[in-house]
Amino acid sequence: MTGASVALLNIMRKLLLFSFIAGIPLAAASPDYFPLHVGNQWVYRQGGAFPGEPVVVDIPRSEVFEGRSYSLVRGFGESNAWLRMDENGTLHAYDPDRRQELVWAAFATPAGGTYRTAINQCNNMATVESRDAKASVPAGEFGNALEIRYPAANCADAGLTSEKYLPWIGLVERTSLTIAGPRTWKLSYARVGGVTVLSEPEHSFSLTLDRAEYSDPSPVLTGRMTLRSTQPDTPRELMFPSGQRFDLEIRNEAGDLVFLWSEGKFFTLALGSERITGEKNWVAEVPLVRDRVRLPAGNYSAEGWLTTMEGKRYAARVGFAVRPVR
Amino acid sequence: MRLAWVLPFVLCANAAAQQPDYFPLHVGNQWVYRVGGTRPAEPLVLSITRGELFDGRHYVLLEGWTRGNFWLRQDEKGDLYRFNTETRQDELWYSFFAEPGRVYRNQLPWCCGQGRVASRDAEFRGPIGSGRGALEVGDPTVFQIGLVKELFLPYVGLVSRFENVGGPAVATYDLIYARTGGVTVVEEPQVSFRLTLDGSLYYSDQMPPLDPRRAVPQLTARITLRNTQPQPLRLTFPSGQLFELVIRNDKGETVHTWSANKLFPQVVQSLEFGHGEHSYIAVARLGAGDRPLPEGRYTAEAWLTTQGRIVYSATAGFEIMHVF
Repeated sequence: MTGASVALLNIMRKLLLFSFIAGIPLAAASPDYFPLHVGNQWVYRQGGAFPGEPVVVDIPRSEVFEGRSYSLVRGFGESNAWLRMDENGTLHAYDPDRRQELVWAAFATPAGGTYRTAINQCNNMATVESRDAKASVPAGEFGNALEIRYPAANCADAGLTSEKYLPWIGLVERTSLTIAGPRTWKLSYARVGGVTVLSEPEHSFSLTLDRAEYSDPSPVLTGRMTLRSTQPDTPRELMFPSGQRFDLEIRNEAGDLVFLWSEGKFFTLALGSERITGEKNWVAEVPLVRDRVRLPAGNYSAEGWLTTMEGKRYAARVGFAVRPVR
Repeated sequence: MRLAWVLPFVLCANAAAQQPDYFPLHVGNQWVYRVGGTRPAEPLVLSITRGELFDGRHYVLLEGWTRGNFWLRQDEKGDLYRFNTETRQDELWYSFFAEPGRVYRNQLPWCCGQGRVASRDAEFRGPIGSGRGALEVGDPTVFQIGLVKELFLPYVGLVSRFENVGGPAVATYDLIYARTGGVTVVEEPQVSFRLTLDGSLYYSDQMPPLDPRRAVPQLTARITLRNTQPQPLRLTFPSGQLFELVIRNDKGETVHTWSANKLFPQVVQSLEFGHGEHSYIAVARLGAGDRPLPEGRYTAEAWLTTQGRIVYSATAGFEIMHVF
């Protein structure tokens, strides 16, 4: 991808994100600084004198305590937390052992205002430093972050120093104190609300199936292979020995080949190339039948790959099951 | 359903913006349609691959239609035009903000010269979800050939098309995946496995004096199982290890194994992977001490270490380059 196209892509990513983010406050009562949908996920790169491995924060499920719904947030603090956002934009944590609810963040606090917090045992007060702060993290640059400062309180060389939250995205940056000096978390990836995806420049390959189980009389599997390359200076130029770009095979539980997408197909015998800038998808539909008979019930795997000159440099496999007809 | 999440964005954006964008034209946008009807065909993949100036105006190239590629632009009123490079004229495709019910002339290549906005709040039901708020466009004169009905969602684009293709034959297009504006992804329920690297080219800085931090690049891999099916996936692991990552050189030799210096409890465990994404992170130093791996082409392969055959795996290629 050229520098210009990356810049354009980045601008458009920001524009679209901001069109959502800027638009919603006008219509809704208050922006959501900590989206708590089940399935949300955030990945942070750690920085500092002794940075650890990237941190994954996710929401695997929700549960009702005392008539209120809380989302389980893993990886955000020292232990898992049950969180809910109230109608005023205040984030509460529920302790199921003590049956007690504590305020983690009062996001609606005006700039300059303070509130009591239980977000970290080493902090008990928080100040909203800005509601329009800049945040520069691997996942992008943003200009409308909510910045929270935590004055030193209960501990020496421990506790939170500051955080930045982005509406409808969540925490994008955190600084904390450790015995080895400051440690930072910076957002490198987020998937929020199922449809909003932020990511640092990346290079990925995936196989997506439309189902995990097929139980209809004439099942057809849809497999989508996606190569994504958003690196700023390294467009992917892939070379192919023929007109074929991908293949897809299905194997049964014993590993026997039961279907090969390219079988019976003809491709031009000419070298070809594909320049990957951003994302490219290839899709195959596969009837799960063999010799006109539905595949026997059981577990299978589908593997899709790009048929590049160098063999399987881009491949992915996903399991699925064929069930008896319902 | 999923669209319940899309629509709040869409509707709120509607409230704030002057007019919603029914055909987002960002370079990199992708749409994948399942093609059905009387004669089902291969899925259709549309993408916007690049932009270019013609006669002082900026157009983007829409690729993937069997009828060819098209240079498109939207004007300030939201009308969508195709630039005909032979006549060097704009040809109107859609007038999204025409008064509902009013017939306007168009030059869509799918026949037949007229369009009409039927509704701005049409019901939509398809693989990606259901809800209201869709823009319905059709050609009121269509008989045996032509577009009967198309539905567009703001900031997503075309989500459904019903087309007469001769006699009683029809063709349907249903959106099953879209990535628009780089950050908005809508898709049908799915199960997928993905390996994401933080680079496709890793540099080793060989400028003396060698600094091990710069001489040996570090690869960060994100391994993601995504399940948005109604039912959770239950997977069994023979130990505490949940995933593996290996790096191989262009001869297929393993040069790095993520688990090589790790111990895992020998306990069989069964884990449930519910709605959403489940990611694991593996960091690999591409060398040892201050010596990087040789320049060349490599692959990273990651998989879930489930019991039995490997059924969730992904491979991605990358390169290492030494610079002085």
